Amino acid sequence: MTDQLPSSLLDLWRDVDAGFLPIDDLLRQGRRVRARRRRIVLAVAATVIPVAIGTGVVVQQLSRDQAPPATDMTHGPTRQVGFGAVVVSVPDEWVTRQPVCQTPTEPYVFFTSTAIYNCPNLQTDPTDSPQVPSIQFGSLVDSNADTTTLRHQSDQFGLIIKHSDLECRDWLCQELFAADGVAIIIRAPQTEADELIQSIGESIRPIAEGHAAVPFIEPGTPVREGRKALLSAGFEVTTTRGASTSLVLAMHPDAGTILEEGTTVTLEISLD
Amino acid sequence: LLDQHGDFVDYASARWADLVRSAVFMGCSLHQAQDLAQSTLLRCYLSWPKVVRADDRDAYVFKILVNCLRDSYRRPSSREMPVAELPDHSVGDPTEHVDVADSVHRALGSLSAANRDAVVLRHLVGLTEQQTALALGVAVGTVKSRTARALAQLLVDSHLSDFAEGGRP
Repeated sequence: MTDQLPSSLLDLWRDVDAGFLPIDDLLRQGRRVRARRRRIVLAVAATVIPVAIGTGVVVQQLSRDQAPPATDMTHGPTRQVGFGAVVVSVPDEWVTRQPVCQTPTEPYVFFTSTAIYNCPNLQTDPTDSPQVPSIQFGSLVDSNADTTTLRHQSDQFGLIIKHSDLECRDWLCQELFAADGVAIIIRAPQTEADELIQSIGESIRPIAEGHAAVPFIEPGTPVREGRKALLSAGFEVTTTRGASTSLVLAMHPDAGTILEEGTTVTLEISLD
Repeated sequence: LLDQHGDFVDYASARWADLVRSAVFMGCSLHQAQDLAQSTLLRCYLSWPKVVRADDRDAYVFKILVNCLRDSYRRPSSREMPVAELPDHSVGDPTEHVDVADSVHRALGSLSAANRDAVVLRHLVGLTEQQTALALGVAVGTVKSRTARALAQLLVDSHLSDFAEGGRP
């Protein structure tokens, strides 16, 4: 087959002057990126390590009803985001409160109540999929997450974490984690994926006793169902209006926020 | 420093020309191709242990090149990078490079991007069918059919006939 290639094409191939390899620039740039990676890892570690060391202390505090609010658990540039009974430290800038199913342009944290890939805007042509780093949370039971790829398992903060290998496509890499019925898909740029995904993955742990994550309630859900979900999670519920036949527009605080059980969550609801 | 990265530097030096030429043949201008090759090698440098462990290093590296290329289509702004200092050396006659790249693009203009990429990696870079399949993320059979179609089109392409008879315009 090779001999069928027109010789003029081979001539053109040889005519392309590739120039010199800028090896010094390349190595200098590589060192800068590595330094930036190290800073991110240290920032995440600054959150994870104190939490790991202080888990016992926190649990004791909670048992005495003196638990700090969720915001007190945030250190530096990371934030705690929870789903079900699992909490993860994520880069603060990723929590941008993107509306569900609107193609995001900035890093984001995404929740889904059913299939993890069920957002129509996010499952069209892969070349149109959002090319931004993200964390997606969903129920492992209801999601389409491919659990057959979960080959690794570890015991982390008393939680069994299963995860796949790093899978890279285009400029994004992703890895699927599963813990306590929750599917967590973390995507990060290839240049930072190894350390960033590993750091975020290593921050997965159970939510501290006496606390719970505000559940994700998809906008458009009937208020009755939204109230039921919040009560099941251990929160008190109030609504911006009294009608029980309306639909949920939003809630305050947002889904994923870690709060002490019994805290009141407000549902913003539509007119009848 | 160079000694510490000896393997990487050796590999990068050996593959630099193929990476640049591949990018030109896949539709880039020469400068874009050089940027793309540099981005590819930067990713290799940052994950060098993984590149070394890869079952097929060349397939892995050219897969990165293809990914960088697709990425560059989505992020046009990434094609130009501000620099603190402008180069103070002569860059020669840029029109010569433009001519070559333009000739390449016209020569391959009749091919679809998928067929073009397959024939570039398989027959110009010299990857095996298996390596080409890995680099493009398709089955070996797809590589065979794409390269066959591409070669058939190139054989009857009038642009290439012109080059063969009269050299570059």
